Amino acid sequence: MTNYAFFLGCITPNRYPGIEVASKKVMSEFGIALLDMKGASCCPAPGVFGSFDLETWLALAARNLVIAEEMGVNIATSCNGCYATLQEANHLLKHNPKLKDRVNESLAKVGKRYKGTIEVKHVIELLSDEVKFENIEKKVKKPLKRVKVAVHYGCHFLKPSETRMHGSAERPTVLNDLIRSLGAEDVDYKDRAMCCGAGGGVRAANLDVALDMTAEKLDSMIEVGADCVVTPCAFCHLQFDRGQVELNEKSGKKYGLPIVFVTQLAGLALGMDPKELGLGDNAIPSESLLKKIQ
Amino acid sequence: MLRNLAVKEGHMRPEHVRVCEIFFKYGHAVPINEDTKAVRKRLALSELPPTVHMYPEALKEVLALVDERGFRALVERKGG
Repeated sequence: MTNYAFFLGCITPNRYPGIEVASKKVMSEFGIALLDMKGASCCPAPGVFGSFDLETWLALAARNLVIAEEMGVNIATSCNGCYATLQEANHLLKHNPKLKDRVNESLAKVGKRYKGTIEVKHVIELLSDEVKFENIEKKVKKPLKRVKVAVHYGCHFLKPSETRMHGSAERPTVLNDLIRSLGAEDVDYKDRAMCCGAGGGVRAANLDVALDMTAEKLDSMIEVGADCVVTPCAFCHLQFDRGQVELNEKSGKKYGLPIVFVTQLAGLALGMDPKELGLGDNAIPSESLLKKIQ
Repeated sequence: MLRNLAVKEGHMRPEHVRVCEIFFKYGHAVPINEDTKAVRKRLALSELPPTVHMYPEALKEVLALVDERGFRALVERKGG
């Protein structure tokens, strides 16, 4: 068994715990244990906290990194925002000794010290680099044939591309390759690389702008006949799921496109019970998708 | 960083100040609620996640860092 410290962040445990369960169950199938990071806080969110005061954001992120360092394992996360904060903080601290010293002066006040001994990974990286898609394909019990998936990568998973290193930030393929290994069809749609609308503090400060962007993406996905949206980010997941309810209330439209987290979709293909994966707990029902899989 | 300088000059959206205030209270920008506690229980997870929500001493550490950095004062100058 390979161990990872599972950084939960805020949205996963506090709004969509199905993502937490699905990620643990799926990783366990492939010999990866996602361990609790006792006492972790908000990452903190890059859009608000990093913009307000970079070194406070860095010190708080470093405290979370130190929890994993003390556990002696790398971090895995299921939220692009958390991934952005922790990976960037780790990168900055590893490459800037003066910054590291200043952050350690703050951390010393709470009895902690950042060393720079771990890496921060996204659950997608665990599936692509450690598990490998060909091994996932071998374990698929319920190939997701006839399921058309609109993939939404989310901004922070891909950019800045020089530190994320997932290939092209404009035409990425890793998530599409994963979807195909599960037997599903990935459908291309207009402006696939566009933001979900939530990030950068936009959802908190200007919900109408955020929802306009969400609606534009949803319309493009629906136009090409998508059966569901698959995201690798808890915050994008929330924006597409609750955003549809908010759009329906605001505009009288009837959006109802199921939203599935990437490990939930993998869990379905591996034959896991949809209820145990938390698919019944979204604001938008998943029944239309589940009927296609039966 | 330009945005950090703007904040020092007091340019903060009230909604973003509110996000910080929630963090000062819970250590999460999006804290747990009763609905999610029930979902967690149904999914056989602990009612509270193993984060600052479950460990009050960890929240004290987070807030000590916030205060040590003068971040609360920076935000409350605007929020208050």
